[in-house]
Amino acid sequence: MFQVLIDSLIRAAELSFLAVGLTMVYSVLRFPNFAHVEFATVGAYMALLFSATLTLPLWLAAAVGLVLTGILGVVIDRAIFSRLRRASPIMLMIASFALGIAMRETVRAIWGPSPFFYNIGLQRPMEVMGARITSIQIAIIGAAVVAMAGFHLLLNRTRLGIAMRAAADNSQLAQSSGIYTENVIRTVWFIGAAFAALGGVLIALNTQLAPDMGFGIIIQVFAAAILGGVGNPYGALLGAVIIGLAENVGLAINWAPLAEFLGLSTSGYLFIPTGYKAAIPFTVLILVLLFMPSGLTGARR
Amino acid sequence: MTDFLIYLATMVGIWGILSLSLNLQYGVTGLVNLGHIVFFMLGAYISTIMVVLAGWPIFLGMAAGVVAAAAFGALMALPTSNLQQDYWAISTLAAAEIVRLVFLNTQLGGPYSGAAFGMSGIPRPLRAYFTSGSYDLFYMVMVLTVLAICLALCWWVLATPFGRTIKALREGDHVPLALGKRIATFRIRSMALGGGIGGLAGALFAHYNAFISPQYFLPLETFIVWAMVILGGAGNFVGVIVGTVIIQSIYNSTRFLKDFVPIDQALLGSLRMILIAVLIILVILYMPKGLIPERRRRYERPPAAQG
Amino acid sequence: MNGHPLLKVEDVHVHFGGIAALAGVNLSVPEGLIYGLIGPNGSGKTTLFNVITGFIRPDRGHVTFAGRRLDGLSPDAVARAGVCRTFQSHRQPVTMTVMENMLLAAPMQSGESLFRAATRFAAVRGEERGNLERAYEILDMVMLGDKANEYAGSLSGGQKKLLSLAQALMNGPRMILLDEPVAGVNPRLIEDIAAIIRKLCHGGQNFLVVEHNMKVIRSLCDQVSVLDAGHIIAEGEPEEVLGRQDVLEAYLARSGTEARPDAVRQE
Ligand SMILES: Nc1ncnc2c1ncn2[C@@H]1O[C@H](COP(=O)(O)OP(=O)(O)OP(=O)(O)O)[C@@H](O)[C@H]1O
Ligand SMILES: [Mg+2]
Repeated sequence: MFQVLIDSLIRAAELSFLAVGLTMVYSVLRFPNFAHVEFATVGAYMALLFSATLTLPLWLAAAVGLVLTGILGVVIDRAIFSRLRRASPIMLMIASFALGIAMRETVRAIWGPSPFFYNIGLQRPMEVMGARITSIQIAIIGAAVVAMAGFHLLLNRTRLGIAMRAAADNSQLAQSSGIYTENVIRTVWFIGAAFAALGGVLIALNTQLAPDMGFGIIIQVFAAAILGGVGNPYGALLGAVIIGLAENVGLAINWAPLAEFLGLSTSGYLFIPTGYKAAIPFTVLILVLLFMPSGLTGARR
Repeated sequence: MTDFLIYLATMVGIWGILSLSLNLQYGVTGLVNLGHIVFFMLGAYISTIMVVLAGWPIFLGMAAGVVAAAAFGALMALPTSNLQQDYWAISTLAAAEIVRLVFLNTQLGGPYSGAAFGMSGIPRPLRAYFTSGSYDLFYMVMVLTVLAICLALCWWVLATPFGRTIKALREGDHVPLALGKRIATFRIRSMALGGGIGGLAGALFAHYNAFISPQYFLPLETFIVWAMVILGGAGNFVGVIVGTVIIQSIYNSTRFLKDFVPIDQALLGSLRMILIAVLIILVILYMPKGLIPERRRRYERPPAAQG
Repeated sequence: MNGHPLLKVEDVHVHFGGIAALAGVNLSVPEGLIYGLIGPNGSGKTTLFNVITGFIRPDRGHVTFAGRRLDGLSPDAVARAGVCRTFQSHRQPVTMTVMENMLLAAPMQSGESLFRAATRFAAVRGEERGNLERAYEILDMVMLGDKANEYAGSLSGGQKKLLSLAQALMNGPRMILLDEPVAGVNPRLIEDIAAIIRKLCHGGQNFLVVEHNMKVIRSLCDQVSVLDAGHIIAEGEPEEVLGRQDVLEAYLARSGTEARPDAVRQE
């Protein structure tokens, strides 16, 4: 069971980087950015480019990739979304969907469809309280904690942070009182994209690089952000933990007692097949939307 | 070349039907369905299951596919009144993926036993009456005829008081509610109707392609349908068919180009998607109403109201 | 008038978060007249409209219309019960034409069922024709007859107000609730709108009108109620009510410039 907890934590760390960025862009620009997860893909591949081709050390390559992805976010806002500030959220959604495809397919066109790995050698897992965990995985959780602490400081010590929290408290007011200058919007894009890129690098470290690595977790990321209440970065963090747990615990649990309680006959064992792992966050998302549309923290509506 | 054109026309017919159905839901009713491919998938799978596994006649199987897709459409419409538009859109994406996961993980029987291997050996209707050369031509004519019937149906729906009411819903609930419209039932019926038409497209596809697999019904395919509607002009049924012709020509050009251009197939596949995606972004930026914007319906003054 | 009020609002309370938007509102609107509802900005007039028409559930209290309970009904059910409201801001579908907006408003159209539209083709067609004639009559009356095939989005602010009134008429309710029917409309058109409402009232149409323009309230309304911070503070004939010191003070306290009753008196 401890293993399940560790796996959930790793998953939560990965998702949190994307969910936090998504929730910020969502609350400031008022549309769900379907291209957001692609920043993770782009960031991860940029780190690959700089570490493999230019033979930079991986941490430096990742840092460069992070900054470049952040800049890409700003450029994309300038080129596309800044022209659509007055358009309906539907158009923004569709434009972001198209943008996501363009980004993903560009990655696929450049690097091809087969997966890549960072050159970090074989990771030998160690035993901690009966669970197997690699040093990379510990680093992932550590990085998440450090980055979130930094983010917390940013939210509480800077002008952007004040604007962000105003968004979470009362988006209408923040918008009408003009807290969202273009400058704030740019910063949000930069941080959102860079955070996603960091998440992408971590996912690639833990598993592999593939053109679909970002889009493959889009529902998980949205579920985490909405669960936490759109506009609330801490909520998104919490949402990521819950989705991470739901995915891993959901598979580890023997559902037979529940099924029998509901009057179904089982052979004493009833596990969710691993093929349905992806369906868990989807179902959580739909249930949350149906019964708790403002999320756990009630940030919106 | 002729073979390619027949194939392209058949694809335009099938996807045209699908874009009509999205246009009914989004272009007319304003429902941002990002899981539209689910109707195509249900139409294809349910028809295949009924025909291949349950031994139903093909056209009856297709009808079952239509009904299943329509029912799922109605189901998707249920939460529309409680959810914000953007949240509903996200949940449609999730709903379509859940259905796909079910087909991906379920052993269905048949030669490849369903699941990730897909379903093959799907029979083609009236195949025995044609030579292999003329059958594709027949299927093209059949599909285009169905497209024409669906277009006429959509036009007729739009001209009815029902069509007028769903069109009003696209700009918000307040006015229709204040005028006494039962908006939930209108949305449900619009989703069911669009779902059924989408299911028909799926059934036609399955029995043409003779093989289906979960890989055919990715969220990417939903985007293709959206691209056809946005490019052609949301709200205009002829427009979305024009959009279908353009997008399908780009999409299927790789099939044609591979004989002439010595680039890798996978690369070509990526390039065509980039082209479509960029095209849609440009349309949204510079031509948000599409190539053929919605036309207004004129109501001339009747003789009795002269004055 | 048979003594029973047509619309009765009893002890209605509505809270938004910690703020009480309506704090025990009572209102009795008799049949056959134009009833005014006035009050400074933010006093709860629109909220009361929302409660009556089912857009907001009151925390407490009842709404009765023609002997039938309205509270708890959905907005569309309220409309079908004979109460049709307009909105303070323009909400008509702007990508539909004026005539489409009008035909939309016709009540109980059998063609709203696709099944009947397909099976009872001739009947639905006849109904459409009848509605079209009626819509043109109403549009002519509100001076929008030659705008029938224009997009609603292309109308001026005043014309949009007229369209919402025309839509409400087309809906054929027993009572129409107008939320600021002349706000932002040019003075010439204000006169016309007031004249139309008066004429309709003579024809037997019941109105409940929210309006800040006191000149219009004076000339139009048979009776008014004054809402202030969620309470009804006065009711009676317009001349009498608008002359009362406490009503004046309520307006002055909120310093709504355009909304001061004395601003009109000085004209
Ligand atoms: N949906 C809402 N959520 C929160 N507060 C609201 C909401 N609707 C209205 N209010 C508040 O309730 C109070 C009454 O508002 P209402 O719109 O009913 O006023 P009104 O009398 O129509 O004002 P006006 O003359 O400006 O139209 C105001 O303080 C307003 O801010
Ligand atoms: Mg108001």
